[in-house]
Amino acid sequence: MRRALRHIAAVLCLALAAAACAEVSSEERALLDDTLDAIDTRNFDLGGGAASVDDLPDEDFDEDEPWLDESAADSETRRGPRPEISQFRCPFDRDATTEARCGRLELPGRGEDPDFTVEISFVRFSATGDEDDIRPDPVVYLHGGPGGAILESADFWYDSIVRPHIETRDVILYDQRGAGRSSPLPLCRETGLASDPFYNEVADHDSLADEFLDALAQCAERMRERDDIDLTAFDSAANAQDLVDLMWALGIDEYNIHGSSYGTRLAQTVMRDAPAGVRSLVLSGVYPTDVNLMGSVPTSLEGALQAVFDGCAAAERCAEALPDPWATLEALVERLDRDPLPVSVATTATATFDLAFDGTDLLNGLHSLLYVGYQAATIPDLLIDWLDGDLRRIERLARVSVFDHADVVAFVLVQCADEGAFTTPEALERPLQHEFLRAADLAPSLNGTDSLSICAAWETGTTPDPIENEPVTWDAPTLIFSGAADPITPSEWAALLADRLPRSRLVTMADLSHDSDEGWCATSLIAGFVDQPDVLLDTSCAAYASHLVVDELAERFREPLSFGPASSDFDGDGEWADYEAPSWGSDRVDGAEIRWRALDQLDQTALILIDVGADYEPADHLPFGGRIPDWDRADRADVPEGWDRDEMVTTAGTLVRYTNSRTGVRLVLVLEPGEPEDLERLVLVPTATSIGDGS
Amino acid sequence: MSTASRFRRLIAAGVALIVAACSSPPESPWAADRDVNSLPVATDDDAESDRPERDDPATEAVGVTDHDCHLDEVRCGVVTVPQVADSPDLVSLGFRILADAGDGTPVVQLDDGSGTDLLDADDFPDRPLVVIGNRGQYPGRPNLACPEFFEARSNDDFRAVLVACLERFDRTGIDPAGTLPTRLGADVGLALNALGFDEVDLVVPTWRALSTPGIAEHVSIRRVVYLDPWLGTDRSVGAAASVEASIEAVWDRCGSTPGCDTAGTVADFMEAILELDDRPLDDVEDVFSDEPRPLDTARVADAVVANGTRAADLAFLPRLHRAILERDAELVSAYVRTSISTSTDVNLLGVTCSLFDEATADPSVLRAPLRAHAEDGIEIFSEACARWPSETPTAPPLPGLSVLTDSTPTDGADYRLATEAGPVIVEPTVGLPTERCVIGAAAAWFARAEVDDSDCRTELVIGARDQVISLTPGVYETPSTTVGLPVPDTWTDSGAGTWWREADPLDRTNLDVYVWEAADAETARSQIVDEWYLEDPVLSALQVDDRIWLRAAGSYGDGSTYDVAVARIDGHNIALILQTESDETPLLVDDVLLPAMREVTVS
Repeated sequence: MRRALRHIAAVLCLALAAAACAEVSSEERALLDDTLDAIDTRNFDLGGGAASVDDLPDEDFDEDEPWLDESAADSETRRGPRPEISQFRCPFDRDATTEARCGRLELPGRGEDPDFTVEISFVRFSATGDEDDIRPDPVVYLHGGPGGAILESADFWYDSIVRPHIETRDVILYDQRGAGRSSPLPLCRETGLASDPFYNEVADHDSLADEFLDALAQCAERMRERDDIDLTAFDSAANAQDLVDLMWALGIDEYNIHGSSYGTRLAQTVMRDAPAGVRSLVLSGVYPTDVNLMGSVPTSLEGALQAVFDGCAAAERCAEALPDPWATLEALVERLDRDPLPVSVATTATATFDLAFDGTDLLNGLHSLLYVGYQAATIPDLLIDWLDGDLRRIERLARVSVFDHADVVAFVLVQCADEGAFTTPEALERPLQHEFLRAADLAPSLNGTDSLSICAAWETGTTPDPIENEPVTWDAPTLIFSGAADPITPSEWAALLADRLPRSRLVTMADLSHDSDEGWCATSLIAGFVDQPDVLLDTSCAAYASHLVVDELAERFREPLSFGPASSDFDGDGEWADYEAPSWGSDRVDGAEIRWRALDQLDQTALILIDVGADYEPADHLPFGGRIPDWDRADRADVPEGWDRDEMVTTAGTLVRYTNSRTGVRLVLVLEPGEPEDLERLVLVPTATSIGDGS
Repeated sequence: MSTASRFRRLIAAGVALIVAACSSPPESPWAADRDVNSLPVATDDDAESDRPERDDPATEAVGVTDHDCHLDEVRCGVVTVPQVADSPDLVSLGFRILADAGDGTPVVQLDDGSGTDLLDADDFPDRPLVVIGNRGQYPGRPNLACPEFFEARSNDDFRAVLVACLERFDRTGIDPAGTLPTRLGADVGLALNALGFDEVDLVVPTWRALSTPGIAEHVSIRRVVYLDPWLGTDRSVGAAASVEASIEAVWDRCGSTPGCDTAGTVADFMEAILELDDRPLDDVEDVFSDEPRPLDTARVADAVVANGTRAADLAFLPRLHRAILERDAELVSAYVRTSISTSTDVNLLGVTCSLFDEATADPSVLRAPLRAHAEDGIEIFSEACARWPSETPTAPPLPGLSVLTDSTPTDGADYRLATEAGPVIVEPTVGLPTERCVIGAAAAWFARAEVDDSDCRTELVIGARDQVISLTPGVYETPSTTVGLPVPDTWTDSGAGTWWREADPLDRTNLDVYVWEAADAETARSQIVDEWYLEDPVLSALQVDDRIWLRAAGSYGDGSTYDVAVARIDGHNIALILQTESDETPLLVDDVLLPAMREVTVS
């Protein structure tokens, strides 16, 4: 079996794929293109390029607003001077009802170079409730990765992370050192998607793995030569101290931790090194300090797939259509290895990569799907469709399986320091139940062999502290979530940690995966727990699902195209117009209504209605980076009167835009490659017709 | 019936039989003249002077959190208490304090399993009324629910899901010992201590009676009223037996009630239920299944037992008997649906298991259909209680006044214990003691006055649907009009222009008066058409005496019928609407609607 390593960042990341491995937007990608070679890595600001707070146009911005209240500012200094905080414009759209302030502070590097410092960027959402009800102990979120980031996507995560607490508590999100908006942000452009010919010039698929490892090694060499980055400064102990210092700088004596994935390991380090002030902990996707992560991924993958297949067995339609899912999966892997599926994958908006999607690619792709419960639940239908001769789901999986690798440095350094240092080749033995998985030449991130190779290339010369591989315990109340289909931090690990913690409550979500702290049940439990950590929880909401929900989800995805009534105030004049639109799931963002077709969770096809004057970029819907092509006028005979038609043909799909010549209202249909042109006639034309002239 | 739904219902019913017995109608709206500031509040001085000794469990009380319950005169919140003694893990108990201008000793009502309030602040005008919730009752937490039961399809499944649920409890820190009766008694003392009370009068419903040793240990009790059924130390499920005794009582009363028709003896009723296994009725609707399951012996017997603690449900049984004999599947199906519970709540498993003794539970004394129900229950509770702790209260209950009804087996050991504990009032009714009886007795008892049991002598009327109707003047007042009309004297006046018959839990019969303004008759007609979703044109004319009424009749989705009569009287538009079941429509039109049309006045 051939190997493909392009998934390495995706599958290595312990955080949710969407958070840790989110694609950079086209705007940011363009900026990255221009500046990658000249990256200073210090105070690097991807958003808008603002160099200092003085340049920021935000009217609400007030640099002089104190971060500490008077009582905290006047309190007796116990640990020396507080680090100074500078404010900057938050890199996300702020909800008008939510007060969010972003700041950064400079902290010691804590590595071998005494002059090296880092800057930690954070956002503090202020509690919205009555003053009397607001509690002094905020919730601090520890993101995954390591090296993942949260700040830029804070509005995306607001509902699940911030909203449960925001009435009574401030919520603080921050990017850990080496990640996101914290600096330095060391990037490996050698493995970056946008800047190099890594994908585009590789002719021999078999050599991808070796070339990827070489590229990472080259990056390591380049990083070592730099005198502005201390590679010994990236580990969990340093991350933990950053959190303590951040709390100190903000004048916070007591706080609550919410950690996901790697954030749970960081939380353990905090509880080991500096537990004072931690009132309670919520942990999801638990990664105990003493487990063997690099050697466990294959068994975790197998266990997660088993959870998915158990869900299929419990669903009448799925069980009938897929009586032996393991045999079907084995047959599909074998078939793809024998005869890989050719798929054209977009790496930028104008460049493609001809991928021969083989069995290993499939397993890696499934591993990525398994991170999120409702995505995992679509895996049986991928197999069922294949049995029916329908390869579209596999093609779709292949097309979105390319991730940017440039921001892999923090991940590599922290993982190698905390995990790789204690992993031996013997620990990579895979006790698997299914022979074809054992025989498969899995990607290095799944089998661990190349992970050790990467760590060897990034060797920093420091002596690992055995304490990093030892279990940690504490008495503070701790709510632990695990997902039955978690392919990277299996639920056994959550149980392992829970058994050590005398005040822990363990909640297993049978229908979730690495996203076990999401959804109404988890968020309500989290809110109740943080409110009163000592009071026991009613966890019955977690017991309504005994397995992954398969049939119901598939049913939703198979709904035929239909239209329903809709209304919109296109030009903001307060008068709403009625029209007909596809009955797809809808979402409203930045003056645009987005209707997702959602044939499955990877389906990018959508109809976007953009209000007059709204600043919305529909090309962001396609999974590529780099500069986006221009719109081309391309009229067609069936375009309704009063509308102009433009096209944007990209490597990842085609965008068709209708612009109302009188009002300026825009309708954009996002078409994936291979979509029949009929979709424009079936969706775009009738919607535009029903809108009429937009008045 | 599927095993799964049976398990669900048995769990719910088994607990509910003990719990729901003292439920009562929802609380009345709070009177506006109460002063919440007069409530006792724990102060530092109080804490200093009344601080219990270190070994007093009251020191376990750890806090009170007030919630805004959006009522000016009511204080709401939760009290946190240890799950078990000395545990750092807490549970919270909801509380409500209905303030009173007076400074009398507070009356504390311990919430019953059903969560409804027995008493209202108006019942004790010079005293604050304090309601302490049970463990698991909102807004307290945690509630111990086992949705895992929904997965059970067989006995083996049931064992597996029970284990799964108990394991989940264990993983989330739940200690089953926290549900035992003595711990529940301790909750009361801890909560009252945390709220700053040091002397109270207690009203103790049903299962809370079992926790009185704990209450005695932890609460400075002044006087106690226990409510039926009085649970002493006799360890027995006894639910089906209680229901059987209640059925006998209903049949006895029916025999002496004019118009009441049992269609045979209790034995005949049981035999009719048994014969449903040979000739099941077709179910009309099944909330658990797309394919309605037959109405067989087990389903109907389960419903009879599950409904067996509510007086109105018991009163319906003669009618159920007739419906079975007449093969009226629609009515039997409707009755069975009223008993369906989707509750998977096991908060009271500690109490249930403390009452349950498989060795002494003897279903053979029961009649056949109820025997099968009891046997199922024994099997399930044997399974559950083998995995859940239980205890036998060792201390005698507190002295108090017991209010019992004679339809439950109060002549056993429980009755004797109740008698030894204090005075006993026996109300000759079925199901629960009536509210008036309880309040009157409690008020007198708390005032150390002679207990007046005059309100405890009213017998429940059986067969109310079959009563001869006699009319009495009724009045409906709006800000601009007063409507007078004759209404049946046994129907309940809502005060809002509706009179309800309330003969039994399925009774939807009511007479409604509707008055509205309209510019002219045509506008009035179209408005009533819109208001009642009538198809237009639907109204036919009917002259009653010298008035012309427009009438419309039809049926609702639930099978009940409506009969609307519209007229314009002295410049006012008035509609009289009779809603009832189709088989009763002709009789009630003659006896209720037409007299109202004939004599209604509007001023």
